[in-house]
Amino acid sequence: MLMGEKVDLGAAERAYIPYFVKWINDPEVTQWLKVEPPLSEAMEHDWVDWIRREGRMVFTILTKDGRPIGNAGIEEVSWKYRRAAIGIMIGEKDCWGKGYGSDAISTILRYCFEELGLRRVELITDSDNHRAQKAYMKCGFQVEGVMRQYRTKNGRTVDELMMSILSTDWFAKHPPKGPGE
Amino acid sequence: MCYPHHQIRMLRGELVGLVPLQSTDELALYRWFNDPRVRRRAGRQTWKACYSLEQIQDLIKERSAQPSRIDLVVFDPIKESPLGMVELTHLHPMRDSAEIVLVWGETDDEEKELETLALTAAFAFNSQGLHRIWTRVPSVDQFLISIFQEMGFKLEGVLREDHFIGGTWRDSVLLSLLSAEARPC
Repeated sequence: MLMGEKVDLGAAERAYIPYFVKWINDPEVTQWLKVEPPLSEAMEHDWVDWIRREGRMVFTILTKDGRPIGNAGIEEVSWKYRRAAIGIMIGEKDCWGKGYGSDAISTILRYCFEELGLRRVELITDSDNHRAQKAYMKCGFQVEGVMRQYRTKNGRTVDELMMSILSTDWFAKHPPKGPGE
Repeated sequence: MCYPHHQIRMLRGELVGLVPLQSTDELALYRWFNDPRVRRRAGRQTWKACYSLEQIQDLIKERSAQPSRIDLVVFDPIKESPLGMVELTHLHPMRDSAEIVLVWGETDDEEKELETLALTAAFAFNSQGLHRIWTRVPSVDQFLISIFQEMGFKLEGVLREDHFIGGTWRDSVLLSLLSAEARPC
């Protein structure tokens, strides 16, 4: 488990599937995600099987009292180039705007840079998803460019922002700890 | 989890008992493998950040099926509760050497950890016919190093910057014990 200040990141357990189904079929939640609802409970079981079989780095975001509120993941890991992409969603809408997402991202970044030894972490986000961009920038991400007409959403094309953070950016704000810390 | 005293395959000391890892240990392993303190202490980048209960069940099945390793769960015989694990890996009929890994899931207890190592060493040398057991411990973990040394393990060398943790490369030490050096248990 990865432990943050406001949230912990645990494994995506099968017991959480009812939450996953609720989140992934809520248009307000999925409007920023690159998924194609509707997704059934059986499809979510397949997803959990896939995570288990492939050993994917998918986490369920839990509040400190153990309530599942969203999912996050580290994807497209290139060990050769020491880079990865991350993704996140907060599915419980009453948890939006409370800093849980930012804390989950920071917790993942700490793991990426301080334990996995990655050099670069990147993500893409809809250009009109300003709330997410604010959270990513708060965690140290920088906008690198605009990927024009990257996808279609509700019948219109959408630009995506490519954002990234490098290990040097991270360690400038979070110096490596001494052996005893 | 209950560890009955009549368990057939059991190594029994005064403070701890050791039994083969089995599926009923899944909740203890689930807790330990998801504990950041235990993960950091292991100093192994092969450990994932978190494990689902199903992944732990898979892991127990995989480990039990591998002839090249023996996984023993350490338990408190009075409370009948699990304390940690000890792993003998790299076992091979043509090789009389194996790696020993101590994964202590609960609060450290020097005497119990010492007895765990003593029981495991006796098992390795007397039952498995090994000549040498060795371990790799993160240099920062002076407590664990001292326990191995107290058991008679000799320092063989330093694996420089062999694992990455806390944002920096750190050393590990290599320790070994030969059968002739082992104290009677």
